Amino acid sequence: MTRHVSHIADEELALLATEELPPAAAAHLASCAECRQRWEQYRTIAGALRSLPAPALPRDFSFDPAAVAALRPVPWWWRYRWPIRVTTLLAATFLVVLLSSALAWPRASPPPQRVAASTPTAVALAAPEPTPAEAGAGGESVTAVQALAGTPAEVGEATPSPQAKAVVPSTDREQERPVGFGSGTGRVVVVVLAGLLALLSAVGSVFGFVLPLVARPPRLSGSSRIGNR
Amino acid sequence: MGTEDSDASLVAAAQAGDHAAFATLVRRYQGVVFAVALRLLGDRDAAEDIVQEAFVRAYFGLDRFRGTNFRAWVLRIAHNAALDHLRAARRHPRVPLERAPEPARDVEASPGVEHTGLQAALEAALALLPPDQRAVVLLVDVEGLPYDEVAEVLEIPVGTVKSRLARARVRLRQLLEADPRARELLELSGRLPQREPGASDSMPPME
Repeated sequence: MTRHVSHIADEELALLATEELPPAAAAHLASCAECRQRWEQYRTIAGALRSLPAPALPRDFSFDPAAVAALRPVPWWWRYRWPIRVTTLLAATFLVVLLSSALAWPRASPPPQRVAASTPTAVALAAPEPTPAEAGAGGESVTAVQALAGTPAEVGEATPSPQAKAVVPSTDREQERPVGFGSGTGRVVVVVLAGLLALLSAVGSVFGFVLPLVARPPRLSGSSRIGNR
Repeated sequence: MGTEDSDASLVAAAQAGDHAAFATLVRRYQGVVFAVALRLLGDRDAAEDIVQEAFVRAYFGLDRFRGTNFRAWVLRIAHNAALDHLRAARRHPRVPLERAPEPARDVEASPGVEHTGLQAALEAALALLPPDQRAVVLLVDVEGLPYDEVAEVLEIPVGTVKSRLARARVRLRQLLEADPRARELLELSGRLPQREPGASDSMPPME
């Protein structure tokens, strides 16, 4: 049986080129010309790398103390000033739209409800069964139906028969409750949303517009180099 | 403050507001930082920006510096900035990742190194290495930093430094063997391997 002679792995030889040789490796290199040749080749390459000349410095990078004192790290509001500005403008736009809608909406339906509530029952009972489209159109019968819903006590006295329930379709019932900005919950939502948007707009204006204009940080690269050429 | 002052005393003085002490540190290490940045990036303008950025960041981070090795710290800052630059370059392919070796006017005359063809071959081979292997070769072989300091710069274990260095040297040898300019070095040293036809580069580990 013949004994197979193994060589040292290439990567191990590459590392041994600049390290102290372990006894086993030294003994192998002394007896194996191929490994020794490769090991010396790595030593030559490492030596040549160490002898590479240093590149010439383009300038002295030391600081001018006055320039250093004037320099500050770029603050977060400067780094994110454009997203802040976009968000601020969007918030302000939504705030204007929300306030305009809130001011205009409440005048739409409540006053006719109260007027029609005084004489509701006869018209409501005499009216033919309304279709959802008619109900949405807001005619006289719809006003009366809304009045029915708005004054349950009066309706209960004037329309004791189950006929009244048959007259009022489900779509009208959904209109019974005043939804939107006029309701209590709606008002709360509007006020909270408007407050948040106003806060966002105010904070965004400060960090997105005022601070970048008042305390603009100096540029660290490009034309305003701080070293000495 | 003289140049013989230790880094620790200069850092302490700079932390106390002594601009001259920090300027001394900058002058002491600007060469190695620029050399590493230039060979990592292959772009003089980018390397110049990286060096400036590294020292500016180091200056503003002096209060947070609690280490003992200023050179490793500023090299780590520069290396991270260089990696950011390389990532940005990958997103914009117009910026070349690999670049021809520096022209002769960019290097200072160095006694004992007269083989400009070999230097060019070495620079070209370095530029072809992957960035992680290139950084290790630059720090260990070119700049002569010890393994533990390189591990601190690159924020990797010492074992990883060694494995990357080994792979990088193997790759460098393969590249240099294929470069006719490098044969000058190998012939000069009389160690040009006589490769047999069909011989494989890979060898089994020593038993």
